[in-house]
Amino acid sequence: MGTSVTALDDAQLVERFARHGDNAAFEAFVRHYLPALRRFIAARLPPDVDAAEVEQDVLVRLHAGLGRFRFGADPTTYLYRICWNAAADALRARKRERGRARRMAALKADGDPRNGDDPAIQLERSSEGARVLAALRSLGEPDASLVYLRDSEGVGVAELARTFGLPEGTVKSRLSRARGRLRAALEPDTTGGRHDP
Amino acid sequence: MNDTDEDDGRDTALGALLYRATEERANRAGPDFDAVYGRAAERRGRRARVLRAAVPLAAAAVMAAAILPPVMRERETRAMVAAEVAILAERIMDPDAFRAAPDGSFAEGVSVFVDELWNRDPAGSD
Repeated sequence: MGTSVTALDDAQLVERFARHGDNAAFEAFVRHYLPALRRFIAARLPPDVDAAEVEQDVLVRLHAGLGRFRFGADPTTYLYRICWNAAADALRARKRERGRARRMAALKADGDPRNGDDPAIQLERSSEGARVLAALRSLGEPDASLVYLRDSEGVGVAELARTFGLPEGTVKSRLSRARGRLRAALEPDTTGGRHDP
Repeated sequence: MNDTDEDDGRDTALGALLYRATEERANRAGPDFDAVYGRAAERRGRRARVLRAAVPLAAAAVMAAAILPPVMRERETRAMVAAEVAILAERIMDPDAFRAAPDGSFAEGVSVFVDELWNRDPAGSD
């Protein structure tokens, strides 16, 4: 364990953490991937879901599960799968919370406390990037994640197939159809400027 | 928008648009690596404390059920004891840890866990 973690590659960092519980190795590994994980989470979640909460959840799950990682496999497959699951859990939790909030609001008759009045959320919804991400999310899952990871993060088709448990041919056909739908959804924003006053 | 890189089947123009959008949101989220990592480490610590406490609590509840007379082993009684276990577990948690629970509430998880254990047939194969 004498080697500095800065001299180790990803596979060595994962192995060191898994075998020796070396948190410095875990931190070095996560530091490398966190920007990509944050972008993926941002792509998956609507503005009113707290992305920071999900980021933390991903790190907790990663810390608990990375020790069982199969050496030799690509760690990004595992990382993106954890992110995808954590985001799905957050969306389910939001759905339950909204149901509760609606019931409470009906009881109190003073409006839904989660109706999006937060100025930060309103600002986020109005940005150009938010419209792009809303169009992406409108594709549904796993298509949105497939397009994002393939085209934005450069994840290979074979790796996507492993991550989502799909045959490679299915990944390719879904990518093709989803890109067409995404381009169509973005078309008004990219050609017209019809929304400008 | 349509300049797909035919060599590797990647639409780089679409990718660049998505990258900018996600980078914008990720940057707006704020906390740097150390903040995210630090909060996650705190959460790991809380979860570990909860797990250490929850298992003995659940085990105690199951043992209590075993010595209850059969007439008290009805669903309402089990639910009441499970709720007590959950409340005890919740007292050592903070709200952040609750939100981290996969099903939204740690109390729900403990209740289900205890209920499942209770429903096992002591003489059965499980």
